[in-house]
Amino acid sequence: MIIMTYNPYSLEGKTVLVTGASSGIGQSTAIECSKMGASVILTGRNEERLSLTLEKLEGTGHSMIVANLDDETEIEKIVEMASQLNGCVCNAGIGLGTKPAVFYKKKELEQIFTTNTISSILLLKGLVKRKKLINPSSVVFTSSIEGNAITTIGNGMYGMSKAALTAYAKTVALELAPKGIRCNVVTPGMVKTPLTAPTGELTQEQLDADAAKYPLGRYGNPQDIAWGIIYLLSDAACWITGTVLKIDGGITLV
Amino acid sequence: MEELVSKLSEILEVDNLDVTKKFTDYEEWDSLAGLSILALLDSDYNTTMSGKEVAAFDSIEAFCKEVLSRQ
Ligand SMILES: NC(=O)c1ccc[n+]([C@@H]2O[C@H](COP(=O)([O-])OP(=O)(O)OC[C@H]3O[C@@H](n4cnc5c(N)ncnc54)[C@H](OP(=O)(O)O)[C@@H]3O)[C@@H](O)[C@H]2O)c1
Repeated sequence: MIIMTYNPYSLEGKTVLVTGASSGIGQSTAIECSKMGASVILTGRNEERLSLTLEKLEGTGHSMIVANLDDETEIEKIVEMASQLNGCVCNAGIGLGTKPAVFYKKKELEQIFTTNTISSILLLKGLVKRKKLINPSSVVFTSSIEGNAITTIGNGMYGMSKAALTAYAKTVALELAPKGIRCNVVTPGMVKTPLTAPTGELTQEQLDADAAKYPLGRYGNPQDIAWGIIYLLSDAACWITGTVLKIDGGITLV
Repeated sequence: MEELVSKLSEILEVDNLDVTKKFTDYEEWDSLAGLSILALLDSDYNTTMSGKEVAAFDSIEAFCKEVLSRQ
């Protein structure tokens, strides 16, 4: 019998902070990180769903911080409470529905940029200033193919917030490289989570037909994204920074 | 009614909107027009509908009456 000890993808001994860990991709990322050996610090607004994630984690040494990332003082609280980190997954995000550009409202623009872009920027700023990210460490941002690789009618506000997040990630990758902090981005295609749950607008047949357009034959599962994030967190990606990893079942090829 | 019809004409880019027709009778009806009408309801009429509901009205007039009855 061969005992596997060689695994550059392992997160054994690493502590990873995951935002948006109470649902969808963030929840799956937290669970998968724990299965890969990490101690995970979960954060989100909903205490009940966050606790459910905590219960699903494997191993020990995990914790949770209930906080609203729209609020700068609560971001400070996360920074304050976080222990020394080997990894951080800036994943929390919102959709705000679809609407054409001529109907955008200032309040909505402010909301989407606050949650999807500015919150991650301020969180990372706090973690770096307070020296919570050790050398070497890895930060992964959950962006989207929307705004980065595709453009669809009605999704402009979301796409802009995600394109801005990607642009920021590249700059900060360059600026933090001397501190040994790698910064990378994943851009998922359509993943089945509460964010994308059918609203009743489309029939099951229409949804099935849309999923069938994906070259790999289906929409993504949260785990599909979690595994990409784990790769970027792991030592296997130690020479990768500023990259944008598309995880989209091939949809941007068609 | 006139104001709403004029806003719908603007969205569909049709000069003399025939309110006895259905939205889907117009070749200008597409996903952008549909999304624009939903956004118009939200921003100017403080009400919401699904795209399916909008498209299902027997006539644009019936749609307008429904929207105005909610005011
Ligand atoms: N699903 C997709 O198809 C897809 C595709 C591309 C990119 N993405 C991106 O992937 C990320 C995760 O999405 P998901 O599909 O997993 O969505 P989700 O199931 O709705 O989860 C979103 C998470 O973000 C957290 N969150 C939202 N606003 C917050 C705030 N103000 N403060 C703190 N936490 C906040 C939520 O936590 P609470 O509710 O507890 O606050 C929740 O845990 C997002 O950035 C999304 O844009 C998703």
